[in-house]
Amino acid sequence: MDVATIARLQFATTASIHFLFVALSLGLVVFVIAMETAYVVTGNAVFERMTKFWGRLYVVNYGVGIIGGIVVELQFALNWSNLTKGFGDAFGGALALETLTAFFVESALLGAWIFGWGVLGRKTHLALIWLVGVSAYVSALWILAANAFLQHPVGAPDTTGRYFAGFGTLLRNPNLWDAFLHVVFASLIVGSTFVAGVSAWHILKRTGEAAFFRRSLRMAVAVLPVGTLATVHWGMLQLVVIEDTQPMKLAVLETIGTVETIGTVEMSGTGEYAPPEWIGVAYQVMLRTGFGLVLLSVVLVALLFRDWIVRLRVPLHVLVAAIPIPFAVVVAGWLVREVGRQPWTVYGLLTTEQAVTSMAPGAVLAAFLATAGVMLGLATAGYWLIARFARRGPEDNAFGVPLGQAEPAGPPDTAVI
Amino acid sequence: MDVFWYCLLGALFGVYLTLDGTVLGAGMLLRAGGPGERARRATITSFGPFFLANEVWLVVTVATFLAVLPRLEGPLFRSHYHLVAAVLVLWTVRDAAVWFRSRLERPGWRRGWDRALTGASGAFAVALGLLVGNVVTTTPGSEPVRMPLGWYPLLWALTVTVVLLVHGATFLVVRLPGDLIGGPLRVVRRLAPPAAVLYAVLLGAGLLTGVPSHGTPAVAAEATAMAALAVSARIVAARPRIALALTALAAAAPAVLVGLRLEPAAGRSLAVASALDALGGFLVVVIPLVLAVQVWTWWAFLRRIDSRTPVFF
Repeated sequence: MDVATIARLQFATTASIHFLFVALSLGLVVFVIAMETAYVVTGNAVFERMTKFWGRLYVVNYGVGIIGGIVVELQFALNWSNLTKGFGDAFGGALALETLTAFFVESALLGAWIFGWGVLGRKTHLALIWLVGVSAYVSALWILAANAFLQHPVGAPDTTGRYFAGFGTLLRNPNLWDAFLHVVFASLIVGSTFVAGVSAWHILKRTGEAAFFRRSLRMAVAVLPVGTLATVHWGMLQLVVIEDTQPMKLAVLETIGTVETIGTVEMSGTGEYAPPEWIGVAYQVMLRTGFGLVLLSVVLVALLFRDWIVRLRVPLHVLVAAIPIPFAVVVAGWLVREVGRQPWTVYGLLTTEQAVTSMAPGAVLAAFLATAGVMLGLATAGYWLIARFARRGPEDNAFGVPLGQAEPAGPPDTAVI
Repeated sequence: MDVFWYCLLGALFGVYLTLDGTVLGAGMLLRAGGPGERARRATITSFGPFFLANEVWLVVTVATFLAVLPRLEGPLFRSHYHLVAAVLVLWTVRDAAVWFRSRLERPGWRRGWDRALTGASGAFAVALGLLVGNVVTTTPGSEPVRMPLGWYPLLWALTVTVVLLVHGATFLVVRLPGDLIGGPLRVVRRLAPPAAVLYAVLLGAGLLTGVPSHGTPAVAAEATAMAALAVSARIVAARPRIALALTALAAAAPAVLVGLRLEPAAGRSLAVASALDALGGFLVVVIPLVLAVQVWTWWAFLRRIDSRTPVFF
């Protein structure tokens, strides 16, 4: 294998795993915010228990997400140095602002939220999770601004011949906003399917927390159609932009590789650069599952009437089975967007072959195997823990257990090396 | 104006070393508080609230480096590809150990992750030291370093590891419950003098062998680190917070040498002026805000742990 292939595999593996966790974080934080806000406003202890139960799942998930984020961030400079060399002036600023304005604040405040249970005032604690949530979305916006630049390089070379785009230009990229809203609402689908599915499992198994999970279930099912309809809406709008800016991608998506269409597009001037045809399959999977989820979500909302969703039982089984589906669909979506950009790294300006760092394949392969192996291990362990905590149900020791209770002090003379 | 950007990058890296240095040091010293789960849980809780906020400084350093010096980061990482990749993997293992170890109560699970935490923290410190030593002795953008284990980088690896042990131990003296600080106190007293000696050796070696970038600021940084370590060993019991501020200086000192080494190449690699102006405009607002958030976190949580302190990691 050549260096470019290995480096692409590494990026695809680590970024996909990273995004699985990011999507659930973005979706779940909305519920955690809503629950804690309800708790602080009403003072009802049920909402506190809900916040702690879903909050712990959110935090465990967040941990794997952040580790993946570090791996992805460092890969730009490590494996794609010709990308950063040629276009760092233009999209490096977006990455820097992502970490400075969003990630910086998010990580400091999440630590304070985790350790602030019972230490900080209720309102301060609530403000923390709001800020964590808002900065997570700001973070997603900047990352997508950087990605939108790769899809459609707005800006222009300056007098020295270096490619530059101001922040205003980056944020006005037509490839940004539809994609951002598409990702935001797709994450909401991931989050609400997860909350609904886990709740449905507990109701089916009669784990003794019926009221708790019925409330969570109704909340998630009510939100689900917002996610599905909005995701499809902003997904469709992207086709218009793709037609304008990436005709070859659209040709492959719409026709699964009909020669004539690709021929026509070639004549429109994009050259013979076509993405691989299999992304057409990924696209169809995403599209059809997406429409299926719209239907399902609307039916489920109707079943909230008189609690049929619980009384019929079947919808609960469907919801449990549906938990993994949105995860698969978001990965398909990223494959369409990113592999659909091939063979370009910066569309029309820098090919992927040109972007990669010139290194010995052995070193790149070793780095790939190590990072991808560790990420796969972490993702497995992370999901195993999440499933375990989800099954256990609400527990009082999720957050805010004092050291004296978790680990009572022994006789005083034990503290010696 | 260029100086502002160099200072910003140096400050970001220096603050990273200082802040995450406490976690790396405490990770290596997981067993220093004493035997038993309570001491280990307290050690992890000591850095728990700051853990994410600390490591994020390195992510910010890397991202800002890319924005400010887009034509230097790639070549620099390429020269030190193996070490950077090693740091990345060790970083993920260290983080996984912190996130996962207390999630289950099985003794075997916790023991396994404790070993991973201690091992990865130590190896991380060594790799950071090797990276500093190699960056200081290699021309940025030269061919990949195949053998990063020269005597000078190894000296740095030893120094960084010992200094972070002292720094982490001082942090533990500030944070751990009173009955657990005996071990960390002993570590500071025993290792701070050798750490100061190591900085002296680096200083002498740098001057004698003409290691690049060994100008006045480097000598000043290493001399400051020596003095800070020597003083902190004496005052750590009586004034642990001041001792922590001093060991922080010693932990951050490598940033000065790395910065000086990269400065000539940096001048040729700056991003276009309009890009820097746009970023600068944001930073004037963002930096005070971000600092306020971080300082608030430290103010809210930097007190001695007692039996009522919540645990999580």
